Amino acid sequence: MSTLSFVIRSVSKTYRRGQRRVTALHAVSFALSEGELALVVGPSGSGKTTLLNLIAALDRPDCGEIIVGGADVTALSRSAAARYRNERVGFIFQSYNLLPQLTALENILVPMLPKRQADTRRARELLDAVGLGDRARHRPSELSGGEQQRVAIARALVNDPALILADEPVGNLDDENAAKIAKLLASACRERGKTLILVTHDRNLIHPVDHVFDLRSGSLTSIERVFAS
Amino acid sequence: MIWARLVFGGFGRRGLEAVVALVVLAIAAALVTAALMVVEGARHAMTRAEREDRPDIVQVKSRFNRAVFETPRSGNLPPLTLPVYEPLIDLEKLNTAGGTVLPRQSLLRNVVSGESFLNLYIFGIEPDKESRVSIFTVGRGRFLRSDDGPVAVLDRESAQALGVDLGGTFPVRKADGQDLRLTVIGILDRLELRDPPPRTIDAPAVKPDSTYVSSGAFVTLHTSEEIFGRSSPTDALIIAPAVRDVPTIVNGLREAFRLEPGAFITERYGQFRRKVRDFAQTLAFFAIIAAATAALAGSFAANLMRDVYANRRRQYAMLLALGFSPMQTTIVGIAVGMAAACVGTLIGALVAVACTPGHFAMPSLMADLGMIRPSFTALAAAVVIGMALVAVTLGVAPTLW
Repeated sequence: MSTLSFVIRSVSKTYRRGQRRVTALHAVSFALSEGELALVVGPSGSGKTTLLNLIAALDRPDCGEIIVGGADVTALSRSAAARYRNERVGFIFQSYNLLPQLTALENILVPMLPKRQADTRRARELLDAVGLGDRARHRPSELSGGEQQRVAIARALVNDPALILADEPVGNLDDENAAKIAKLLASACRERGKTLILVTHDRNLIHPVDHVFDLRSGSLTSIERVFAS
Repeated sequence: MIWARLVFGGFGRRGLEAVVALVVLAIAAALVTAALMVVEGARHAMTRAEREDRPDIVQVKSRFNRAVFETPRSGNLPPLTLPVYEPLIDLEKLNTAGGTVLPRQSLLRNVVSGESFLNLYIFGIEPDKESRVSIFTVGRGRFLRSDDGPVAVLDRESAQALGVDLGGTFPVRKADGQDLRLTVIGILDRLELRDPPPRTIDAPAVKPDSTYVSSGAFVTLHTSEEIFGRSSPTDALIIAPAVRDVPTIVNGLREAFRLEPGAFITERYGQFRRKVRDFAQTLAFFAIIAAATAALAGSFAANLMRDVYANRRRQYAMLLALGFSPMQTTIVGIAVGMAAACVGTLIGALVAVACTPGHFAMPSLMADLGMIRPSFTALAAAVVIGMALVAVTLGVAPTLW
């Protein structure tokens, strides 16, 4: 039995939209162990991206705790939160969010810039690992959507974070590429022992996974623990 | 290299707008700098004028009698006693007006110098008071003291013309026909007498082209009274406690001397006030140019910057998500704007400094101030830098915050 490395406890978040208060998350609780893969599924507007933002300390919950590696990330200062994101979290976005002015290799190096430790060798290894070793000097505009997301996966892994957060990472890809990218992401996390939280509409995107969390209207309606055969 | 591309790359065509913003800021900085340099130059000219014109001084002088200047230049005639001004000033009346009174006796003496006569201006002054308005730079010896006896301080030209040096003496005929020997106790290197009498006769001169007396022998007032044989001053200066008191003092003097047609009261305050008005208008004109330029160019540059940054918001949010600290993200965000502001301001300021004329005359009464010398000051630098920073901040703020 692996140790619990990630715990969300009674997290709630509401937004004010004009005069109205919108509940994005309501008393969400779950826990993950090191190296586990979890899907967060649910329709649009169910609070999935809000949940990722809270886990990444980009936003603060109204109440509740988010414990990562024994520390409550909701209590971090802005600079400590930035350090936490840089060192312990890898982020993968639906729209890749590669910097158009940088090459594929340079995009992978970006998370290393805040610490001024740009390790080109490691970036090249990751680029090779995602199958783009020969596209290092290509700009994002010269890469396909699938290739851009591979670069984004390499970028998420470059600082060797314990936690990978993927927000609809295949939402912009066709089915064939989506399957490839999902498989690549899952295997990359499993091989490296990373905890993956992947937000998606498709609960069958990755197989096998350790958990599936069904989020609806800000509340977890079902928590499945899936045992791989 | 990655940092440079991260900060400055990826603007695409928006980069051209950043360059346009830089050019706009440069032009604005040049105009604002030039305008502020002129304002600063005018301010200096005004300060200089106030220091040199001394609008706080009112002059009271007696009627000028030209007839008495028909002085024998040669022959065996006895020396004559010739006043420059007629001695019509009543000291008591002067004292009623308020302010510090500097009475003078400005005399012209035809003194014996070797085998010939020499026209020599002799000024009876109160040494302590006179030093407040006139410039006496003693080269050798010392200046007068109020308790000095028959001694004189001469400028170099008068000393040479008389053929005397420090410690030497020269005779001056008194009103009673007796000679008074004056001992030279000081030689002046520089002499600038405030409000001297007009120069209408050949005499030693420090400034040969001047229409005013620029050379002479200075004695204490009681020595000149002894020479002159009378105690009434020929002219006087009154220093007002403050410039704004001048009209009151002038009115008081005009009232005091209303029955004395031979006494003339002149002041520079009126003209100075008109200069000040011209000066204020000039300042307002250039300040308006500077402010309007700064406002227009600043808002234009701010709009350009906002467009430049319009597509960057997503990038900065992504950098935050990747672990850049808010400070690092802000630095990355504002670098282009700051670079445009700094380069634009620097280029503009350099162009202004290079192209603004070194000196020029202002129109109307301000021409009396002399040459305006535009100067680049810390204030001008602060204003143009502030303008650029505000413009860039307004342009960048919607993206970063």
